[in-house]
Amino acid sequence: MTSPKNVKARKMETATRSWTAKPILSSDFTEAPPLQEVYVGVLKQRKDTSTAIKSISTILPGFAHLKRCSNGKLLLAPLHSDELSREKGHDISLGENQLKTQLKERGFDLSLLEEKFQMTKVPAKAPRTKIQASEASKIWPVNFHPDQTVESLIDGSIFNDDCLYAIERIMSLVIKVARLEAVGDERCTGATAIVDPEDGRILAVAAAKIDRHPMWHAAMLAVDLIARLHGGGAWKLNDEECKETKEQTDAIEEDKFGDESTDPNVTTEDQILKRLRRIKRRYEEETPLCYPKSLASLKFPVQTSLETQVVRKGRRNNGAKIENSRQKECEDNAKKCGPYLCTVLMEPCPLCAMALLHSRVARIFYGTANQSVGVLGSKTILHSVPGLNHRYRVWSGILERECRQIVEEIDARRSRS
Amino acid sequence: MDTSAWMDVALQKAEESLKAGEVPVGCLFIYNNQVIATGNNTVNETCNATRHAEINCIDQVLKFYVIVTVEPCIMCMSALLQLQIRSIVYGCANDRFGGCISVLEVPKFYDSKIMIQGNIKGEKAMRLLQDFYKGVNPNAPESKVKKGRNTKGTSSTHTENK
Repeated sequence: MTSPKNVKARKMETATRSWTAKPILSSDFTEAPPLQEVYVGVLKQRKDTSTAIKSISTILPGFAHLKRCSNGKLLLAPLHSDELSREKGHDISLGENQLKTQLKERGFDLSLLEEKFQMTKVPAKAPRTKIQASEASKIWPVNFHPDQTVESLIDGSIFNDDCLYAIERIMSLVIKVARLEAVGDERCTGATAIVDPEDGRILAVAAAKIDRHPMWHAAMLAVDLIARLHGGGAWKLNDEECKETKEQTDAIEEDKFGDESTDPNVTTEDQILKRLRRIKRRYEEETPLCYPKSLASLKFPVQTSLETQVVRKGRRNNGAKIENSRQKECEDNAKKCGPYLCTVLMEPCPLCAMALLHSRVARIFYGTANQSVGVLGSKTILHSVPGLNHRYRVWSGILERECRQIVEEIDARRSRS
Repeated sequence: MDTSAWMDVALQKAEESLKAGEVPVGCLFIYNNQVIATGNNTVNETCNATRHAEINCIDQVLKFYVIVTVEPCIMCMSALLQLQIRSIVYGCANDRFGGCISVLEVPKFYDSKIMIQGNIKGEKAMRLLQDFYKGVNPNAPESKVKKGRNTKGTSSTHTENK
Protein backbone atom coordinates (compact mmCIF):
# COMPACT_ATOMS: atom_id res chain seq x y z
CA MET A 1 0.00 0.00 0.00
CA THR A 2 1.36 3.36 -0.95
CA SER A 3 0.13 6.42 0.79
CA PRO A 4 -0.70 9.46 -1.38
CA LYS A 5 2.26 11.27 0.12
CA ASN A 6 4.65 8.60 -1.11
CA VAL A 7 3.25 8.73 -4.58
CA LYS A 8 3.75 12.47 -4.63
CA ALA A 9 7.31 12.14 -3.44
CA ARG A 10 8.05 9.58 -6.09
CA LYS A 11 6.56 11.74 -8.81
CA MET A 12 8.78 14.61 -7.79
CA GLU A 13 11.75 12.34 -7.91
CA THR A 14 11.18 11.27 -11.50
CA ALA A 15 10.54 14.84 -12.47
CA THR A 16 13.88 16.09 -11.21
CA ARG A 17 16.20 13.18 -11.90
CA SER A 18 16.84 11.46 -15.22
CA TRP A 19 17.99 8.22 -13.64
CA THR A 20 17.10 5.71 -10.96
CA ALA A 21 19.48 3.67 -8.85
CA LYS A 22 18.61 0.08 -9.64
CA PRO A 23 19.66 -2.37 -6.97
CA ILE A 24 21.42 -5.45 -8.37
CA LEU A 25 20.02 -8.26 -6.27
CA SER A 26 20.48 -11.97 -6.48
CA SER A 27 17.81 -13.98 -8.27
CA ASP A 28 16.62 -15.15 -4.84
CA PHE A 29 15.09 -11.69 -4.46
CA THR A 30 13.98 -10.98 -8.00
CA GLU A 31 12.66 -14.19 -9.49
CA ALA A 32 9.28 -15.70 -8.83
CA PRO A 33 9.76 -18.29 -6.10
CA PRO A 34 9.91 -21.89 -7.37
CA LEU A 35 7.04 -24.26 -6.73
CA GLN A 36 6.98 -27.80 -5.47
CA GLU A 37 4.36 -30.52 -5.73
CA VAL A 38 2.71 -31.57 -2.51
CA TYR A 39 -0.06 -33.78 -1.20
CA VAL A 40 -2.93 -32.03 0.52
CA GLY A 41 -5.67 -33.62 2.51
CA VAL A 42 -9.16 -32.17 2.45
CA LEU A 43 -10.66 -31.82 5.90
CA LYS A 44 -14.09 -33.32 6.27
CA GLN A 45 -15.03 -30.77 8.92
CA ARG A 46 -13.60 -27.29 9.36
CA LYS A 47 -13.88 -27.53 13.13
CA ASP A 48 -11.05 -30.11 13.12
CA THR A 49 -8.62 -27.66 11.59
CA SER A 50 -6.55 -26.87 14.68
CA THR A 51 -6.38 -30.53 15.79
CA ALA A 52 -5.24 -31.57 12.33
CA ILE A 53 -2.59 -28.82 12.16
CA LYS A 54 -1.22 -29.71 15.59
CA SER A 55 -1.07 -33.38 14.75
CA ILE A 56 0.51 -33.05 11.31
CA SER A 57 3.14 -30.52 12.44
CA THR A 58 4.49 -32.94 15.04
CA ILE A 59 4.33 -35.98 12.77
CA LEU A 60 5.64 -34.40 9.58
CA PRO A 61 7.23 -31.05 10.45
CA GLY A 62 8.12 -28.69 7.64
CA PHE A 63 6.55 -26.03 5.44
CA ALA A 64 7.61 -23.39 7.95
CA HIS A 65 7.14 -20.68 5.33
CA LEU A 66 3.56 -21.68 4.58
CA LYS A 67 0.32 -21.78 6.50
CA ARG A 68 -0.15 -25.46 7.16
CA CYS A 69 -3.84 -25.32 6.42
CA SER A 70 -5.75 -23.17 3.97
CA ASN A 71 -9.36 -23.23 3.02
CA GLY A 72 -9.94 -26.61 4.60
CA LYS A 73 -6.91 -28.10 2.88
CA LEU A 74 -4.07 -29.49 4.97
CA LEU A 75 -0.50 -29.61 3.66
CA LEU A 76 0.74 -33.16 4.18
CA ALA A 77 4.08 -33.82 2.49
CA PRO A 78 6.05 -32.99 -0.63
CA LEU A 79 5.80 -35.44 -3.52
CA HIS A 80 9.54 -35.43 -3.93
CA SER A 81 11.15 -35.49 -0.56
CA ASP A 82 14.85 -34.65 -0.38
CA GLU A 83 15.29 -37.15 2.41
CA LEU A 84 13.79 -39.99 0.47
CA SER A 85 15.82 -39.18 -2.63
CA ARG A 86 19.03 -38.99 -0.65
CA GLU A 87 18.42 -42.38 0.94
CA LYS A 88 17.71 -44.11 -2.33
CA GLY A 89 20.32 -42.09 -4.21
CA HIS A 90 17.93 -40.84 -6.90
CA ASP A 91 14.77 -38.85 -7.26
CA ILE A 92 11.81 -40.84 -6.01
CA SER A 93 8.30 -39.64 -5.58
CA LEU A 94 6.25 -40.50 -2.58
CA GLY A 95 3.18 -42.63 -3.37
CA GLU A 96 -0.18 -41.70 -1.93
CA ASN A 97 -0.61 -45.06 -0.22
CA GLN A 98 2.92 -44.90 1.14
CA LEU A 99 2.11 -41.52 2.67
CA LYS A 100 -1.11 -42.85 4.18
CA THR A 101 0.76 -45.74 5.79
CA GLN A 102 3.37 -43.34 7.16
CA LEU A 103 0.73 -41.06 8.62
CA LYS A 104 -1.18 -43.94 10.16
CA GLU A 105 1.99 -45.46 11.65
CA ARG A 106 2.89 -42.20 13.31
CA GLY A 107 -0.56 -41.78 14.75
CA PHE A 108 -2.32 -39.30 12.48
CA ASP A 109 -6.06 -39.69 12.48
CA LEU A 110 -6.78 -40.25 8.79
CA SER A 111 -10.50 -40.14 9.41
CA LEU A 112 -10.22 -36.34 9.68
CA LEU A 113 -9.50 -36.20 5.94
CA GLU A 114 -11.38 -37.13 2.85
CA GLU A 115 -10.38 -40.49 1.43
CA LYS A 116 -8.62 -39.13 -1.65
CA PHE A 117 -5.57 -36.85 -1.24
CA GLN A 118 -5.11 -34.03 -3.73
CA MET A 119 -1.93 -32.98 -5.43
CA THR A 120 -1.14 -29.30 -5.79
CA LYS A 121 1.79 -26.93 -6.21
CA VAL A 122 2.92 -24.61 -3.44
CA PRO A 123 5.88 -22.21 -3.09
CA ALA A 124 8.97 -24.33 -2.38
CA LYS A 125 10.97 -21.64 -0.61
CA ALA A 126 10.23 -18.80 1.75
CA PRO A 127 9.60 -15.51 -0.08
CA ARG A 128 12.32 -12.91 0.51
CA THR A 129 10.44 -9.79 -0.56
CA LYS A 130 6.96 -8.31 -0.28
CA ILE A 131 6.49 -8.74 -4.02
CA GLN A 132 7.45 -12.40 -3.87
CA ALA A 133 5.25 -12.88 -0.83
CA SER A 134 2.23 -11.42 -2.56
CA GLU A 135 2.88 -13.57 -5.64
CA ALA A 136 3.37 -16.65 -3.48
CA SER A 137 0.25 -16.05 -1.43
CA LYS A 138 -1.84 -16.10 -4.61
CA ILE A 139 -0.86 -19.76 -4.75
CA TRP A 140 -0.89 -20.63 -1.05
CA PRO A 141 -0.94 -18.42 2.06
CA VAL A 142 2.57 -17.78 3.36
CA ASN A 143 4.19 -16.79 6.62
CA PHE A 144 6.22 -13.72 5.82
CA HIS A 145 7.98 -10.99 7.76
CA PRO A 146 9.43 -8.33 5.47
CA ASP A 147 13.10 -7.49 5.93
CA GLN A 148 13.21 -3.67 6.20
CA THR A 149 16.63 -3.43 4.63
CA VAL A 150 15.66 -5.51 1.63
CA GLU A 151 12.42 -3.62 1.15
CA SER A 152 14.18 -0.27 1.32
CA LEU A 153 16.59 -1.49 -1.36
CA ILE A 154 13.75 -2.54 -3.63
CA ASP A 155 11.56 0.55 -3.25
CA GLY A 156 14.57 2.86 -3.28
CA SER A 157 13.72 4.45 0.07
CA ILE A 158 17.19 3.55 1.38
CA PHE A 159 18.42 6.75 -0.27
CA ASN A 160 16.94 10.12 0.45
CA ASP A 161 17.15 12.95 -2.07
CA ASP A 162 20.33 14.42 -0.58
CA CYS A 163 22.00 11.07 -0.84
CA LEU A 164 20.96 10.59 -4.46
CA TYR A 165 22.22 14.05 -5.39
CA ALA A 166 25.52 13.30 -3.69
CA ILE A 167 25.84 10.07 -5.67
CA GLU A 168 24.98 11.96 -8.84
CA ARG A 169 27.65 14.57 -8.16
CA ILE A 170 30.27 11.87 -7.64
CA MET A 171 29.24 10.09 -10.82
CA SER A 172 29.44 13.40 -12.71
CA LEU A 173 33.02 13.66 -11.51
CA VAL A 174 33.71 10.08 -12.61
CA ILE A 175 32.32 10.94 -16.04
CA LYS A 176 34.60 13.98 -16.29
CA VAL A 177 37.57 11.87 -15.23
CA ALA A 178 36.76 9.21 -17.81
CA ARG A 179 36.34 11.80 -20.56
CA LEU A 180 39.70 13.36 -19.73
CA GLU A 181 41.90 10.36 -19.17
CA ALA A 182 40.38 6.90 -19.51
CA VAL A 183 42.15 4.40 -21.71
CA GLY A 184 40.51 0.99 -21.51
CA ASP A 185 39.45 -1.70 -23.91
CA GLU A 186 36.10 -3.10 -24.98
CA ARG A 187 35.99 -5.29 -21.87
CA CYS A 188 36.64 -2.72 -19.19
CA THR A 189 37.08 1.00 -19.31
CA GLY A 190 36.24 4.18 -17.47
CA ALA A 191 36.99 5.74 -14.14
CA THR A 192 36.46 5.11 -10.44
CA ALA A 193 36.01 7.22 -7.34
CA ILE A 194 36.26 5.84 -3.81
CA VAL A 195 34.35 7.76 -1.17
CA ASP A 196 34.12 7.62 2.60
CA PRO A 197 30.37 7.54 3.19
CA GLU A 198 30.63 9.06 6.66
CA ASP A 199 31.53 12.54 5.48
CA GLY A 200 31.35 12.03 1.73
CA ARG A 201 35.06 12.73 1.36
CA ILE A 202 36.41 11.61 -2.00
CA LEU A 203 39.49 9.59 -1.13
CA ALA A 204 40.73 8.43 -4.50
CA VAL A 205 39.97 9.01 -8.15
CA ALA A 206 41.47 7.03 -11.01
CA ALA A 207 41.04 6.61 -14.75
CA ALA A 208 41.80 3.36 -16.56
CA LYS A 209 45.28 3.37 -18.10
CA ILE A 210 45.76 0.00 -19.67
CA ASP A 211 48.06 1.60 -22.22
CA ARG A 212 50.57 1.95 -19.40
CA HIS A 213 50.06 -1.36 -17.62
CA PRO A 214 47.69 -4.23 -18.45
CA MET A 215 46.38 -4.35 -14.87
CA TRP A 216 45.73 -0.62 -14.62
CA HIS A 217 41.98 -0.78 -14.77
CA ALA A 218 40.34 2.14 -12.99
CA ALA A 219 39.22 0.16 -9.94
CA MET A 220 42.61 -1.55 -9.58
CA LEU A 221 44.31 1.85 -9.57
CA ALA A 222 41.84 3.29 -7.09
CA VAL A 223 42.42 0.39 -4.71
CA ASP A 224 46.17 0.99 -4.86
CA LEU A 225 45.68 4.70 -4.21
CA ILE A 226 43.74 3.83 -1.06
CA ALA A 227 46.55 1.47 -0.07
CA ARG A 228 48.93 4.39 -0.49
CA LEU A 229 46.70 6.49 1.75
CA HIS A 230 47.02 3.73 4.33
CA GLY A 231 50.79 3.81 4.12
CA GLY A 232 51.27 1.12 1.48
CA GLY A 233 50.68 0.87 -2.26
CA ALA A 234 52.26 -1.48 -4.78
CA TRP A 235 52.55 0.55 -7.96
CA LYS A 236 54.77 3.53 -8.54
CA LEU A 237 52.02 5.85 -9.61
CA ASN A 238 52.58 9.48 -10.52
CA ASP A 239 56.29 9.07 -11.03
CA GLU A 240 56.37 12.33 -12.94
CA GLU A 241 56.01 13.93 -9.50
CA CYS A 242 59.10 12.09 -8.46
CA LYS A 243 60.26 14.44 -5.77
CA GLU A 244 57.01 14.72 -3.92
CA THR A 245 56.37 10.99 -4.08
CA LYS A 246 59.88 10.33 -2.89
CA GLU A 247 59.39 12.53 0.12
CA GLN A 248 56.10 10.84 0.89
CA THR A 249 57.55 7.40 0.50
CA ASP A 250 60.42 8.29 2.75
CA ALA A 251 58.01 9.42 5.40
CA ILE A 252 56.11 6.19 5.01
CA GLU A 253 59.26 4.11 5.26
CA GLU A 254 60.17 5.92 8.42
CA ASP A 255 56.77 5.27 9.88
CA LYS A 256 56.92 1.66 8.89
CA PHE A 257 60.33 1.28 10.41
CA GLY A 258 59.08 2.75 13.63
CA ASP A 259 56.25 0.28 13.72
CA GLU A 260 58.33 -2.72 12.91
CA SER A 261 61.22 -2.06 15.24
CA THR A 262 59.29 -4.10 17.76
CA ASP A 263 57.92 -7.53 16.95
CA PRO A 264 56.23 -7.08 13.58
CA ASN A 265 53.61 -9.69 14.39
CA VAL A 266 52.32 -7.83 17.38
CA THR A 267 50.47 -4.58 16.91
CA THR A 268 49.87 -2.89 20.19
CA GLU A 269 46.91 -0.66 20.79
CA ASP A 270 49.26 2.27 20.77
CA GLN A 271 50.62 1.41 17.34
CA ILE A 272 47.15 0.96 15.96
CA LEU A 273 46.13 4.32 17.33
CA LYS A 274 49.22 5.96 15.90
CA ARG A 275 48.49 4.42 12.56
CA LEU A 276 44.86 5.51 12.64
CA ARG A 277 45.89 9.07 13.47
CA ARG A 278 48.35 9.03 10.61
CA ILE A 279 45.71 7.78 8.22
CA LYS A 280 43.30 10.42 9.47
CA ARG A 281 45.87 13.14 8.89
CA ARG A 282 46.41 11.83 5.40
CA TYR A 283 42.67 11.89 4.78
CA GLU A 284 42.60 15.54 5.64
CA GLU A 285 45.78 16.64 3.95
CA GLU A 286 46.23 14.45 0.92
CA THR A 287 42.86 13.38 -0.39
CA PRO A 288 41.70 13.04 -3.05
CA LEU A 289 44.57 10.99 -4.36
CA CYS A 290 44.42 11.03 -8.13
CA TYR A 291 45.79 8.95 -10.93
CA PRO A 292 46.78 10.30 -13.32
CA LYS A 293 47.87 13.38 -11.38
CA SER A 294 46.31 15.77 -13.87
CA LEU A 295 42.91 14.93 -12.41
CA ALA A 296 43.74 16.92 -9.31
CA SER A 297 42.93 20.07 -11.29
CA LEU A 298 39.30 19.02 -11.68
CA LYS A 299 36.63 20.70 -9.66
CA PHE A 300 35.57 18.27 -6.97
CA PRO A 301 32.00 18.21 -5.69
CA VAL A 302 31.13 19.38 -2.20
CA GLN A 303 31.13 16.76 0.50
CA THR A 304 27.83 15.33 1.66
CA SER A 305 27.48 12.43 4.00
CA LEU A 306 26.25 9.33 2.24
CA GLU A 307 25.30 7.38 5.30
CA THR A 308 21.99 5.66 4.96
CA GLN A 309 20.19 4.09 7.80
CA VAL A 310 17.29 1.75 7.72
CA VAL A 311 14.77 2.63 10.36
CA ARG A 312 14.63 -0.23 12.78
CA LYS A 313 12.02 -0.70 15.42
CA GLY A 314 13.33 -0.40 18.95
CA ARG A 315 16.23 1.89 18.05
CA ARG A 316 18.83 -0.79 18.29
CA ASN A 317 21.46 1.43 16.74
CA ASN A 318 22.61 4.10 19.08
CA GLY A 319 25.33 6.45 18.05
CA ALA A 320 27.99 5.29 20.48
CA LYS A 321 27.77 1.75 19.31
CA ILE A 322 28.25 2.77 15.71
CA GLU A 323 31.26 4.83 16.68
CA ASN A 324 32.84 1.85 18.42
CA SER A 325 32.20 -0.56 15.61
CA ARG A 326 33.52 1.96 13.13
CA GLN A 327 36.76 2.27 14.97
CA LYS A 328 37.04 -1.49 15.19
CA GLU A 329 36.33 -1.81 11.51
CA CYS A 330 38.88 0.84 10.82
CA GLU A 331 41.54 -1.24 12.48
CA ASP A 332 40.47 -4.40 10.74
CA ASN A 333 40.35 -2.71 7.41
CA ALA A 334 43.54 -0.71 7.55
CA LYS A 335 44.75 -2.70 4.54
CA LYS A 336 41.46 -2.65 2.74
CA CYS A 337 38.92 -0.23 1.41
CA GLY A 338 36.99 -0.44 4.63
CA PRO A 339 33.39 0.65 4.58
CA TYR A 340 33.90 2.82 1.52
CA LEU A 341 31.71 3.40 -1.46
CA CYS A 342 32.95 2.92 -4.95
CA THR A 343 31.50 4.70 -7.96
CA VAL A 344 32.46 3.34 -11.37
CA LEU A 345 31.53 4.44 -14.87
CA MET A 346 30.90 0.98 -16.23
CA GLU A 347 29.94 -2.34 -14.65
CA PRO A 348 33.20 -3.88 -13.43
CA CYS A 349 34.92 -6.80 -15.18
CA PRO A 350 35.82 -9.86 -13.05
CA LEU A 351 39.25 -8.39 -12.30
CA CYS A 352 37.86 -5.13 -10.93
CA ALA A 353 34.81 -6.65 -9.25
CA MET A 354 36.88 -9.20 -7.40
CA ALA A 355 39.53 -6.61 -6.51
CA LEU A 356 36.78 -4.53 -4.90
CA LEU A 357 35.48 -7.61 -3.13
CA HIS A 358 38.92 -8.47 -1.74
CA SER A 359 39.15 -4.83 -0.65
CA ARG A 360 35.80 -5.10 1.14
CA VAL A 361 34.14 -2.04 -0.31
CA ALA A 362 30.63 -1.69 1.09
CA ARG A 363 28.76 -0.34 -1.90
CA ILE A 364 29.29 -0.08 -5.62
CA PHE A 365 27.45 2.33 -7.92
CA TYR A 366 27.90 1.99 -11.63
CA GLY A 367 26.50 3.83 -14.60
CA THR A 368 26.17 1.53 -17.52
CA ALA A 369 26.19 -2.22 -18.07
CA ASN A 370 29.23 -4.07 -19.39
CA GLN A 371 27.70 -6.59 -21.76
CA SER A 372 30.95 -8.35 -22.60
CA VAL A 373 32.41 -9.31 -19.22
CA GLY A 374 30.45 -7.42 -16.54
CA VAL A 375 29.93 -9.60 -13.48
CA LEU A 376 27.69 -7.35 -11.37
CA GLY A 377 24.52 -7.99 -13.29
CA SER A 378 25.33 -8.73 -16.95
CA LYS A 379 27.18 -12.05 -17.08
CA THR A 380 26.59 -13.04 -13.50
CA ILE A 381 25.92 -11.48 -10.11
CA LEU A 382 29.23 -11.93 -8.34
CA HIS A 383 27.97 -10.67 -5.00
CA SER A 384 25.34 -13.39 -4.89
CA VAL A 385 27.69 -16.25 -5.72
CA PRO A 386 27.63 -18.55 -2.70
CA GLY A 387 30.84 -19.09 -0.77
CA LEU A 388 32.44 -15.66 -1.18
CA ASN A 389 33.41 -14.07 2.11
CA HIS A 390 32.20 -10.53 1.53
CA ARG A 391 29.10 -9.11 -0.06
CA TYR A 392 28.87 -5.57 -1.22
CA ARG A 393 25.65 -3.99 -2.31
CA VAL A 394 25.44 -2.85 -5.90
CA TRP A 395 23.35 -0.34 -7.81
CA SER A 396 23.35 0.34 -11.53
CA GLY A 397 21.88 3.09 -13.63
CA ILE A 398 23.54 6.13 -12.01
CA LEU A 399 23.47 8.78 -14.77
CA GLU A 400 23.11 5.84 -17.11
CA ARG A 401 22.61 7.76 -20.35
CA GLU A 402 25.57 10.02 -19.74
CA CYS A 403 27.75 7.08 -18.78
CA ARG A 404 26.83 5.08 -21.87
CA GLN A 405 27.57 8.09 -24.01
CA ILE A 406 31.02 8.52 -22.52
CA VAL A 407 31.84 4.81 -22.93
CA GLU A 408 31.02 5.19 -26.63
CA GLU A 409 33.18 8.29 -26.75
CA ILE A 410 36.14 6.45 -25.22
CA ASP A 411 35.64 3.56 -27.64
CA ALA A 412 35.65 5.94 -30.58
CA ARG A 413 38.81 7.59 -29.27
CA ARG A 414 40.51 4.20 -29.07
CA SER A 415 39.60 3.16 -32.61
CA ARG A 416 40.83 6.53 -33.92
CA SER A 417 44.24 6.16 -32.33
CA MET B 1 75.98 -8.68 -15.37
CA ASP B 2 75.92 -5.00 -16.21
CA THR B 3 74.27 -3.19 -19.06
CA SER B 4 77.23 -3.34 -21.36
CA ALA B 5 77.64 -7.09 -20.87
CA TRP B 6 73.95 -7.58 -21.64
CA MET B 7 74.41 -5.44 -24.71
CA ASP B 8 77.08 -7.85 -25.93
CA VAL B 9 74.54 -10.67 -25.77
CA ALA B 10 72.00 -8.56 -27.64
CA LEU B 11 74.63 -7.76 -30.28
CA GLN B 12 75.23 -11.47 -30.78
CA LYS B 13 71.53 -11.87 -31.48
CA ALA B 14 71.75 -8.98 -33.92
CA GLU B 15 74.62 -10.72 -35.70
CA GLU B 16 72.50 -13.85 -36.04
CA SER B 17 69.94 -11.67 -37.79
CA LEU B 18 72.57 -10.33 -40.16
CA LYS B 19 73.74 -13.85 -41.05
CA ALA B 20 70.14 -14.81 -41.77
CA GLY B 21 69.70 -11.83 -44.04
CA GLU B 22 67.46 -9.96 -41.63
CA VAL B 23 67.74 -6.40 -40.38
CA PRO B 24 70.36 -6.85 -37.63
CA VAL B 25 68.55 -6.01 -34.41
CA GLY B 26 68.80 -8.11 -31.26
CA CYS B 27 66.73 -7.80 -28.11
CA LEU B 28 66.78 -9.20 -24.58
CA PHE B 29 64.25 -9.06 -21.79
CA ILE B 30 65.95 -9.17 -18.43
CA TYR B 31 64.22 -9.78 -15.15
CA ASN B 32 66.08 -10.13 -11.85
CA ASN B 33 69.36 -10.30 -13.69
CA GLN B 34 68.23 -13.22 -15.83
CA VAL B 35 67.34 -13.36 -19.49
CA ILE B 36 63.65 -14.17 -19.81
CA ALA B 37 63.41 -13.65 -23.58
CA THR B 38 65.72 -13.17 -26.53
CA GLY B 39 64.72 -12.12 -29.99
CA ASN B 40 65.95 -10.85 -33.28
CA ASN B 41 64.34 -9.37 -36.30
CA THR B 42 62.52 -12.03 -38.38
CA VAL B 43 60.67 -9.90 -40.92
CA ASN B 44 61.97 -11.77 -43.97
CA GLU B 45 61.67 -15.21 -42.48
CA THR B 46 58.03 -14.66 -41.57
CA CYS B 47 57.12 -12.31 -44.42
CA ASN B 48 55.63 -10.15 -41.69
CA ALA B 49 56.84 -6.60 -41.36
CA THR B 50 55.88 -6.45 -37.68
CA ARG B 51 58.26 -9.19 -36.55
CA HIS B 52 60.78 -6.90 -34.91
CA ALA B 53 63.12 -8.21 -32.22
CA GLU B 54 61.00 -6.70 -29.44
CA ILE B 55 57.76 -8.20 -30.69
CA ASN B 56 59.41 -11.61 -30.81
CA CYS B 57 60.50 -11.20 -27.21
CA ILE B 58 57.00 -10.15 -26.16
CA ASP B 59 55.57 -13.27 -27.76
CA GLN B 60 58.12 -15.33 -25.89
CA VAL B 61 57.23 -13.92 -22.49
CA LEU B 62 53.54 -14.26 -23.21
CA LYS B 63 54.04 -17.95 -23.87
CA PHE B 64 54.47 -18.55 -20.20
CA TYR B 65 52.85 -21.25 -18.20
CA VAL B 66 51.58 -20.52 -14.74
CA ILE B 67 52.26 -22.98 -11.96
CA VAL B 68 50.49 -22.05 -8.76
CA THR B 69 49.88 -24.04 -5.60
CA VAL B 70 46.26 -22.92 -5.18
CA GLU B 71 43.59 -22.34 -7.81
CA PRO B 72 43.75 -18.61 -8.73
CA CYS B 73 40.93 -16.44 -7.39
CA ILE B 74 38.40 -14.74 -9.65
CA MET B 75 40.45 -11.53 -9.78
CA CYS B 76 43.74 -13.24 -10.65
CA MET B 77 42.06 -15.52 -13.14
CA SER B 78 40.61 -12.50 -14.90
CA ALA B 79 44.04 -10.85 -14.90
CA LEU B 80 45.76 -13.96 -16.26
CA LEU B 81 43.16 -14.35 -18.99
CA GLN B 82 43.64 -10.72 -20.03
CA LEU B 83 47.33 -11.45 -20.43
CA GLN B 84 46.32 -14.36 -22.67
CA ILE B 85 48.49 -16.88 -20.96
CA ARG B 86 48.33 -20.40 -22.29
CA SER B 87 48.14 -22.72 -19.40
CA ILE B 88 47.62 -22.87 -15.67
CA VAL B 89 48.56 -25.77 -13.45
CA TYR B 90 47.35 -25.53 -9.88
CA GLY B 91 47.61 -27.60 -6.73
CA CYS B 92 44.50 -27.52 -4.59
CA ALA B 93 41.11 -26.03 -5.38
CA ASN B 94 40.12 -22.67 -3.87
CA ASP B 95 36.63 -23.12 -2.46
CA ARG B 96 36.46 -19.54 -1.20
CA PHE B 97 37.44 -17.54 -4.28
CA GLY B 98 38.41 -19.99 -7.05
CA GLY B 99 38.08 -18.46 -10.52
CA CYS B 100 38.82 -21.55 -12.66
CA ILE B 101 35.88 -23.62 -11.62
CA SER B 102 35.28 -23.68 -7.84
CA VAL B 103 33.35 -20.45 -7.26
CA LEU B 104 33.04 -18.90 -10.72
CA GLU B 105 34.14 -20.16 -14.12
CA VAL B 106 35.85 -16.97 -15.32
CA PRO B 107 37.36 -18.41 -18.56
CA LYS B 108 33.89 -18.66 -20.10
CA PHE B 109 33.57 -14.84 -20.02
CA TYR B 110 36.72 -14.45 -22.08
CA ASP B 111 36.07 -17.24 -24.64
CA SER B 112 39.56 -18.41 -23.93
CA LYS B 113 41.29 -21.61 -24.96
CA ILE B 114 43.39 -21.71 -21.85
CA MET B 115 44.49 -25.13 -20.62
CA ILE B 116 43.82 -25.68 -16.94
CA GLN B 117 44.98 -28.61 -14.91
CA GLY B 118 44.22 -28.92 -11.23
CA ASN B 119 45.01 -31.16 -8.29
CA ILE B 120 48.73 -31.47 -8.89
CA LYS B 121 50.20 -32.13 -5.46
CA GLY B 122 47.05 -30.54 -4.06
CA GLU B 123 47.34 -32.16 -0.62
CA LYS B 124 50.66 -30.50 0.09
CA ALA B 125 49.33 -27.07 -0.92
CA MET B 126 46.25 -27.61 1.19
CA ARG B 127 48.35 -28.65 4.17
CA LEU B 128 50.33 -25.42 3.95
CA LEU B 129 47.13 -23.40 3.99
CA GLN B 130 45.81 -25.35 6.92
CA ASP B 131 49.05 -24.77 8.81
CA PHE B 132 48.75 -21.07 8.12
CA TYR B 133 45.16 -20.76 9.26
CA LYS B 134 45.86 -22.87 12.33
CA GLY B 135 48.61 -20.48 13.35
CA VAL B 136 48.29 -16.81 14.06
CA ASN B 137 47.66 -14.74 10.97
CA PRO B 138 48.55 -11.25 12.21
CA ASN B 139 46.39 -9.61 9.55
CA ALA B 140 43.26 -11.66 10.01
CA PRO B 141 40.32 -9.75 11.45
CA GLU B 142 39.14 -10.87 14.85
CA SER B 143 36.41 -13.41 14.73
CA LYS B 144 32.96 -11.90 14.62
CA VAL B 145 31.77 -13.54 17.84
CA LYS B 146 34.72 -12.33 19.82
CA LYS B 147 34.41 -8.90 18.27
CA GLY B 148 30.82 -8.46 19.36
CA ARG B 149 31.54 -9.47 22.91
CA ASN B 150 34.65 -7.40 23.32
CA THR B 151 33.68 -4.22 21.53
CA LYS B 152 32.97 -2.35 24.71
CA GLY B 153 36.14 -3.45 26.50
CA THR B 154 38.48 -2.68 23.63
CA SER B 155 37.11 0.74 22.96
CA SER B 156 37.36 1.77 26.58
CA THR B 157 41.05 0.85 26.55
CA HIS B 158 41.38 3.11 23.53
CA THR B 159 40.04 6.10 25.34
CA GLU B 160 42.42 5.44 28.19
CA ASN B 161 45.33 5.42 25.81
CA LYS B 162 44.35 8.74 24.37
